Amino acid sequence: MDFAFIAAAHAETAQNVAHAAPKMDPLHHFQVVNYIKIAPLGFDISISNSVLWMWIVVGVVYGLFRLALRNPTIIPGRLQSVAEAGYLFVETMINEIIGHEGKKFFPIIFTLFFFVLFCNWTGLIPGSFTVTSQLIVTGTLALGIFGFSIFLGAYHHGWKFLGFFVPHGLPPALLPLMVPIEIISFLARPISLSVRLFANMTAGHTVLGVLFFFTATMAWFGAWLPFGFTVVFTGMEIFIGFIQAYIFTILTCVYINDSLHMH
Amino acid sequence: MKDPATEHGTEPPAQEPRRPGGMGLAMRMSTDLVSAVFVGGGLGYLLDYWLNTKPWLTLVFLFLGMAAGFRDMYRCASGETPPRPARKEKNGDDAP
Repeated sequence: MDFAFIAAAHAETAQNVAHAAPKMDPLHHFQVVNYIKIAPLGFDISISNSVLWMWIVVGVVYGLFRLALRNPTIIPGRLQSVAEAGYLFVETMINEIIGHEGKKFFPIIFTLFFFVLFCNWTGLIPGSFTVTSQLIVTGTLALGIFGFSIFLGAYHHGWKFLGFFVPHGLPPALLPLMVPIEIISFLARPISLSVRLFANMTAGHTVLGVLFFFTATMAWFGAWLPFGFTVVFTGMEIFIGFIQAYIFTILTCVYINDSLHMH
Repeated sequence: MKDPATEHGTEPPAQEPRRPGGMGLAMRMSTDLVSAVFVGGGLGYLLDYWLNTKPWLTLVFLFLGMAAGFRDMYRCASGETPPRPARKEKNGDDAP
């Protein structure tokens, strides 16, 4: 009678041992885990690791700038010059693309740039969560920007904003062809904006996950190779994180500019 | 790849750091092309579903989407819209 029980327990331990053997799961760190479940009236607003890391990112950016500009001097210190370089980077971007009218959009664009940048970078810390690897996050950001640009265009131009879909200097015979093309290209904006960021982040971190797995499981004489790759790829990811934040912001500027000036 | 800055005859100002224009351009163009095709196809499929003209509008809009993707790519590559290598122009709104 007891034997069956023991055998079952043994089978279970055997299974556990089998589970304990390393299993390749490079997508594991993209899983959203709910820490605190909150769902009033069916709306799921639980505190997940995604939410937690967004808060951390906001805190880090805020703290960094607070620290950098704690007692600003005319000749900036190390941290202050970083903050000033960030400010100038966004400012020249806005000046180049939107022009003088872009000044009033500076806060939102600056916030967006640093939020996306630090989401990308904090995701590289082992054990952290990459917020921008979730399509829902990047999609919400992109749809927000898209809606904002439509609102701006409608606000500044009214119904004339629909002229946005009619390219300049086009023979009227081509209009039935070009207008749908322009509309599709307009509607594709939020999708390409969100998918680009999401796909780059997901792909990069998956590659890192696979390489780390190889490093952990290979024998010592082979492990140095994937380990070297992880080092190279982490540097590459830092660069890509910056590039993606840059593209995301610069396209925001382009869309705002299109709404203001209608090319 | 030809540098648009030199192509247009205006040199990038020396004091400004070079922007990561080339790589941004590449990443932007690739996703623009793909997403336009998807949006075109999806739009055609929805219209088909709505108007009961099963395969035809999907096909038409798929090709329109491809055209839109290529148009986006062209627009991006010809420097009509940034990102492009730093090139300071005083006239921020070159098109009225």
